[in-house]
Parts: sequence; structure tokens; C-alpha cells
Amino acid sequence: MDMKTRIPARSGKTASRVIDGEAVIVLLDKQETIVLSDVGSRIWEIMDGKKDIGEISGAIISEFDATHEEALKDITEFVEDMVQRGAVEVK
Amino acid sequence: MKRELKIEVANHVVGLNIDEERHPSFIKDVLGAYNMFISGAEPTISVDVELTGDAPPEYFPSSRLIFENNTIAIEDDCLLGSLDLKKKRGRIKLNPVNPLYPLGTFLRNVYTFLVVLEDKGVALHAVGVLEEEEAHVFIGPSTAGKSTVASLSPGKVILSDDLILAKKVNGEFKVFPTPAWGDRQTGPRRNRPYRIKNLFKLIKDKTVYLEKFSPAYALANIFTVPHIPAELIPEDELLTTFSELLSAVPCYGMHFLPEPSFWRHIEGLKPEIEFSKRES
Repeated sequence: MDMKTRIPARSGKTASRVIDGEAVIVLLDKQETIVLSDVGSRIWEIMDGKKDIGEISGAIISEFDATHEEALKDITEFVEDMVQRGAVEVK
Repeated sequence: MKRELKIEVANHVVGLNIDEERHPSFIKDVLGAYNMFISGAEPTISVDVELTGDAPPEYFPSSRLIFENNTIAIEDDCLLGSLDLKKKRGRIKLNPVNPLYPLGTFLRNVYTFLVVLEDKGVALHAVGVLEEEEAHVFIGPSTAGKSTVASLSPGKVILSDDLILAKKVNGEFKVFPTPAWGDRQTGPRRNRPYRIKNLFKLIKDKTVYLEKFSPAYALANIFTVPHIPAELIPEDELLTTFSELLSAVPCYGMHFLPEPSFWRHIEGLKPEIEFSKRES
């Protein structure tokens, strides 16, 4: 399946806050916390369970001056990492 | 004939009803141990206390905290208790071998419930040290060095080296002394709120330095869910409380060795130290 059309969503087993542009995610089951980079924090903010990776990359390209390929790669890696940690689910 | 002992912590008064004829020496012990916290105010929670061999033994393997029908049931070493949060009434059975210890466990839980659930405050595993009537709060789990910090702070007032209860008082986060549930409480404390000057996350290291945490990194480091039944405490609400605390109070990682030079670093703190960002 084309990654661009996959829709990532925050897991219900997380609680989060974005403070001064940095996202803190609490994994409720594990009682672990994750602090995201500025790009990761922005992806987390945009990721509403409705936008697909292609749409999220559009926002990242314009805000972080990245190429389409770079943004897609970064977002895909981010989503895969977050899925592995249990913070994100992908539809 | 029951005697009511009123114990006030963090502005909450718990009334303990104890049979005066059967347990005069226990009443004397409670008055001694909680001397600074005895209150004249009306209790908001009333608890019937019984000393009985029905209570669990000294090393009870299955400590539990269960919430059902507005009531929290507590089973722990030497303690069988329940607290009805709606009726504000409780009952506890204490093993008579050393009843002050399970009473402390029960009260520690009760005041944590009250501060976190009713006052939207926080309960931290921390040592609080007073300096010029303001509190430095050193946070860390067991073996992080809390007792070490307390023992390396001679001449200073230790609010608690175990549990710190903090909540907003007149819009400002303050900490409260707690009874002697930890090992060390020293100096002329008073039962009143103290302004929090700094928060420090304890990090054992080979050198001593302070690392200013960004609010997000601080939140990730000090956020802890208190020992409260999960149904009662929405983590999202708790995150908001911690975020508010960290917006108001500077937080540092305190890399330290078991020697007192960390105090020199704390005394030299300047507000303009750069944030350190760590990312994943």
C-alpha cells in the first residue's frame, strides 16, 4: 500500500501536551514518556486521525522548508517509530 | 468512649476516632508522632480506627488499592481500610504490633487522594528542603538519592524526604510539610504552605552540575501518576496540572555525587541559564 494514503492517528492509550513547540507523549500503559523534536512535535499536532501522510507532508514541506521526498521519508520513519512504541495507530 | 484526633495536612483535616479506654498508649503515640499536625479545625473526613489481629500481617504480599461504589479499599502491610469519598467516612483496621506504621500508610494515601483529586494538586516522590522559607524540591524514585540529599543538607529544614504534596494556594504552587513518613524531617518546620523555588530531578552522575530542562523535557522527567485507582485520575487532567506547575517553577536535572557541593551550584543559579533540549 502507498504510504502517502495511510492515515496515522494518536493511540487512545496516550496523553500528550505540546509546550513551547515540544510535544510530550505519555504512554499510559507503560507509564513512559517521549519528548519529540520540533518536526516530530509538529507532525504529532497535525496528526488528527483524518489526514493521510501525503497531507501531513504537505504541511511539513511548507513549514520546514523540506523537499517532498525528505518530508515523506521523515514522516514515514516517525510514524513507524511511533507505531512501534505504541503511540500511533495507522489506518 | 471514642476520642477524636484531628490531623491536618495540606489544609485537609482527617478525624481519627480511637477507643480511648482500650488504646490509651496508641492515642499517646499518635499525638506524639503527629504533634505538629494536630488541628482544632473540624474534620472533612472522619475515620474509625480499630486495632485488631484481623488486620493483615507485617509483610503482606498483596498490597491493593481498589475503587468500587465511591469507596477506595486499601490493603497493605498491617492495614485493612476503606474510605467512602462521597460520605467522607472511613474505617481502618490496624495490626496492633506496630500500629503507627500502617496508620501512616493509610493517611499518606488519604492526603494524596485529597490533594490530587480535590485540589488538582500533585504528589511527588521527593525531598523538600527549605531555604529562606522557600522550598527546593528534589524529585526521584527510590534509590535516586533523596535521602542522600536530605543527609547532605545540614542546618537546613527538611520538609519531607519521601512524599511532597503540592497544590495551588492563591494562584501559586506551594508545598506542604507531611508527617514523619520518611526517615528525615528536621528543623523548625511549620504546618503551612511554602513557595516552591526550584524543582530538581535527581540524576546520579560522576560530576556535579545543573542542567536546565525545557518545560516539555521537565514534564517528561517528573510526570508521575500517583498511587490512586486509575478510574479516579484522568491522566490528561494530571498532565495539565504538571504543565501548570512547570510553567510556574523552573526545573533542572541535578547531576550529582553523594557530596554536598551541589548546594554551591544551587546557590549560584541564575535565571538566564539556557534551556537544554533533548529530543527523540
